[in-house]
Amino acid sequence: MSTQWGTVARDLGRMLQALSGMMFVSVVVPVVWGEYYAVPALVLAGLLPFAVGRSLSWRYRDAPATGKLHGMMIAATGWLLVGAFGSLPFLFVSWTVALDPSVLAAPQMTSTLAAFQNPLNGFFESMSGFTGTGLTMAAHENVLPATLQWWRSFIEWVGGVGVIVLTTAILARPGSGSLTLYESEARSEKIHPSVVSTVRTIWWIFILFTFLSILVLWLAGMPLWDAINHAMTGLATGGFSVTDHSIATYHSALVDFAVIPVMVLGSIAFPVHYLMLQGDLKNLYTDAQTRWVFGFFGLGTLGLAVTLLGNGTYESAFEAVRYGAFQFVSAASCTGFQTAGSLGQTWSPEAQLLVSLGMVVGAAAGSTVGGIKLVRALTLVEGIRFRIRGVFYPESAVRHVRIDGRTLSETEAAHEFEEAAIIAFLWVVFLLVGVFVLLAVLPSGPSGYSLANVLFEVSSAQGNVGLSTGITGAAMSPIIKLMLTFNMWIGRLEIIPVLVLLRRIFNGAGLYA
Amino acid sequence: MTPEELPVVGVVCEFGADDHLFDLLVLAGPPVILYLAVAGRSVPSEAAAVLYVCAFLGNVLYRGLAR
Repeated sequence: MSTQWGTVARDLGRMLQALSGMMFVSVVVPVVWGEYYAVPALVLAGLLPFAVGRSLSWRYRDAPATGKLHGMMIAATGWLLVGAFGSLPFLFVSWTVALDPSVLAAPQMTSTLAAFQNPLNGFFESMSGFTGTGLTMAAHENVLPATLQWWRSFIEWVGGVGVIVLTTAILARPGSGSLTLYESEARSEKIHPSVVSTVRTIWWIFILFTFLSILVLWLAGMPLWDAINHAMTGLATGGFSVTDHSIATYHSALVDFAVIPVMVLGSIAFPVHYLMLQGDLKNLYTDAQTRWVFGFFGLGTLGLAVTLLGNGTYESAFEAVRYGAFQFVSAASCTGFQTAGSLGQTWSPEAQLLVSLGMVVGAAAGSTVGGIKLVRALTLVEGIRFRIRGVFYPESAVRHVRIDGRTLSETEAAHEFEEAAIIAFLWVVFLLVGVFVLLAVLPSGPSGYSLANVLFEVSSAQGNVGLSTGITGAAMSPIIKLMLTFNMWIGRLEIIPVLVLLRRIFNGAGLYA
Repeated sequence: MTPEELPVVGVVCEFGADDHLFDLLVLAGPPVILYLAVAGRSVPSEAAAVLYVCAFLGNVLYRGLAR
């Protein structure tokens, strides 16, 4: 194996060992809830990635240090591998209940749990969790064992931190919009000289915000178990729920409005949170991305509320604002919590399109959200303005561009426009691939799904949002499950690392000159 | 031995935002949530939750204004 792959294998081994640690730690949950039948399943699920991970990290312990290229390959492969091994708790717990060994006193099987006897459903659920998407194979989340409710929330929570680390420490480059903590010396008194210290600070902030969110949701009226799980998945903007109808279950405007700030917290770049906690509050309005997040959320909420009221979807302005605000923030933050039932059938196509726009664009880079990211959308807009204005200047003119609070030369600006355009273009390409596959496989016509529904569903998967028009479920064809899993994976990694990985694989197989 | 020399406390203090109240809130989170789980919804438990949230918000505002 080449030294490059050796480095990748070693670090993947460490990731798998960390994953096994997550499973072993989670044994507390079935013990507390009295679900003792789930303990052997969790322990076995943890032993497998531990064994594989230990073997890899030991075998390649002398591989070279990790570089930038390795980082992208590790991120791409790592997300796939943790998705695969992360499905084991679903598989083993459901099979434990199915086989029902008398000594374990397993409960009655439910159709929701039975779906996870299919490894592909567990893989889909696990990838949906780790990518922070939130599309689910579970028909009724409330009947899942608490062990699996916890596992779903835990993997979204860890996946949320993972994407912050990914974008602030591995993928950060000019034009990506990500601000690395150790590159923000100009704004911060504390310098983080290494990725390790960056990661630990991110965890510190994330844990503090999680505790805060749990208490806010509990005070708003959510039961504590629900508050713990929804705080974790809301902050990670993942959207898995422990209830059957997401946040709509609570029928409470107070709960709706309490969840919104949790999702907004997860949508703001974490380096900005770090500066705010140090007392630098002006970043809430001086940081361009944070300003845009508030502006985008505000305008989108207003647009959606006006559309819903105008269409007569809701009778009162308060209801239109309540559901419009929640759903737009849920979509643009890529959380995927739902308060409006039957988005696919009840809301008008214009309202769905607005929500789709929110899903595709997303919020700040360096946060937990998915989508193309606001900064890229605005970079593209600025690029168009720059090009059109350039017509009125002589060729000899020296021009500068301001993007995201930075002044760039023409060359630097061109590089950033190119980056944003490439990501946006590839995003649309893979979105269309997913739409094509779903259209080819799904039934259409009056009893089937419209193009708007399919576009919404694939946007939701690739934007790692998780809102659904009803297409996603255990009854989907395996082709669609695999396609949407691919869309979730490539969307989470912002396309490029997956293409880097595929190129390395094709190079290695001699398929690419 | 100072609190910063304790294993978990030391890590929390080192990688936080240089503020002892925030560090305390990180360390106090699990006991507070455990208390809510044991005590259920009552005046003392709600008061504890309100105190935690207010301590966080108050400290953010205080640090922001002091700066």
